[in-house]
Amino acid sequence: MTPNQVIKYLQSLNRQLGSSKVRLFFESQPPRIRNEYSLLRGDVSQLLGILSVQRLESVAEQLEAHSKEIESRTEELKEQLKELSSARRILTQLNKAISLVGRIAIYLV
Amino acid sequence: MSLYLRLVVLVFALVLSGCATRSLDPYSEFAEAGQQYAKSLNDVFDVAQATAIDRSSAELIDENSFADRQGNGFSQQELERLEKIRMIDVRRIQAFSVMRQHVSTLSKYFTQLSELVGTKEVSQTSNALAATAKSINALSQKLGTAGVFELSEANQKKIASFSEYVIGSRQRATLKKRIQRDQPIIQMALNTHEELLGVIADDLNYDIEVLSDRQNQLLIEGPFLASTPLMKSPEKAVKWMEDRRRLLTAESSVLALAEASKAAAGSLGELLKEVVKNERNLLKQIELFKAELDAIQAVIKAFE
Repeated sequence: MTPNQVIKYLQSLNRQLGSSKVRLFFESQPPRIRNEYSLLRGDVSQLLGILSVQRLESVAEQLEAHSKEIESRTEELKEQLKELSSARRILTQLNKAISLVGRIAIYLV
Repeated sequence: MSLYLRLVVLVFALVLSGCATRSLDPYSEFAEAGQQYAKSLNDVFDVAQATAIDRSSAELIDENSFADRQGNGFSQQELERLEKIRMIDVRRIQAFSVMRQHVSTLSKYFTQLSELVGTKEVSQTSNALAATAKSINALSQKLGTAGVFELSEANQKKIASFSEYVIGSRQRATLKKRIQRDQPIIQMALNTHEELLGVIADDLNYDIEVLSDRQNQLLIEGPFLASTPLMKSPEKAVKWMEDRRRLLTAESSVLALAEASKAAAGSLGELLKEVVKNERNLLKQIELFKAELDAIQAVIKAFE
């Protein structure tokens, strides 16, 4: 049985154990039997909870691995944006330099 | 090549291009769709986490109701039960926290992509270019070489517009190359999302079914089988009707949420392929994708 099949089986078992018909039956039983029923359902719930969480954790681990790759790509994007900004800065500086030369040129001409 | 000749080539190219400014819209829309997808994924996680905890609480209440309260080890037995389930719920919250961190990383990627797409840098750079051309023009007049370098006001505007086009086109090419390069990584993440959303859908189906069963037993069957018929207590009867409708609706909503979120992960993968292959149908596909995300948000609102 695969983990997914076990989860499906336990889900189905838990649904049956908690169904109205089964509950009604145990409600009329002596306290000791009712307690056994309560403990059994607790065990099934716990086992099912552990398996379901493990399944989620396993996918979460895969996502963590992808996150590292995506983070490095995001950093590269930031670098590209910086390059574009620096191109603009160079042009702005060039513009200032030309204006300065222009002011000096007035005295030369 | 002299500056004059370069300017002539620039103006000539501008005329040839028909002053067209190719839009960065498909990329902008794609980046925005990616950000919206990340937000929807987070909302689905919130619903899944809250439903799982509600389900485990409902089961604890039900199992506890059958425990032998007169028995010797009652308190210890029930406290142990509570602690075991608490540990599982804590682990589930931690797993969702890791998933949220991943979604935040993905969202940052799309935000950065969106900033690169943003026309702010394009227009600022082309403004700087236009200012430089104007300065050269002014300088040439001061130096008495106006005949060689002089540019009319209209041509200066054309240069600004053309430079925006050139930078925009270059940016489009950069973006396309960028997305092409990142596609395998993002696609792999989206494949894992599909797997994850399948798991979440499975868990949600079970959680909602159990939660619905418990609430049904508590709110519907209990009052229905009580010694006093509902017809004799109008207020209880009205509440009973409301509860019954809410429970029936919640079950169908969760099925829609699970299906829609899984479909959205697949659709974003298709969009990604479209971005690197063919941009023609991209905007239309993005609209369809956004409609899918809206459908998810509509279902999530039903849970609030």
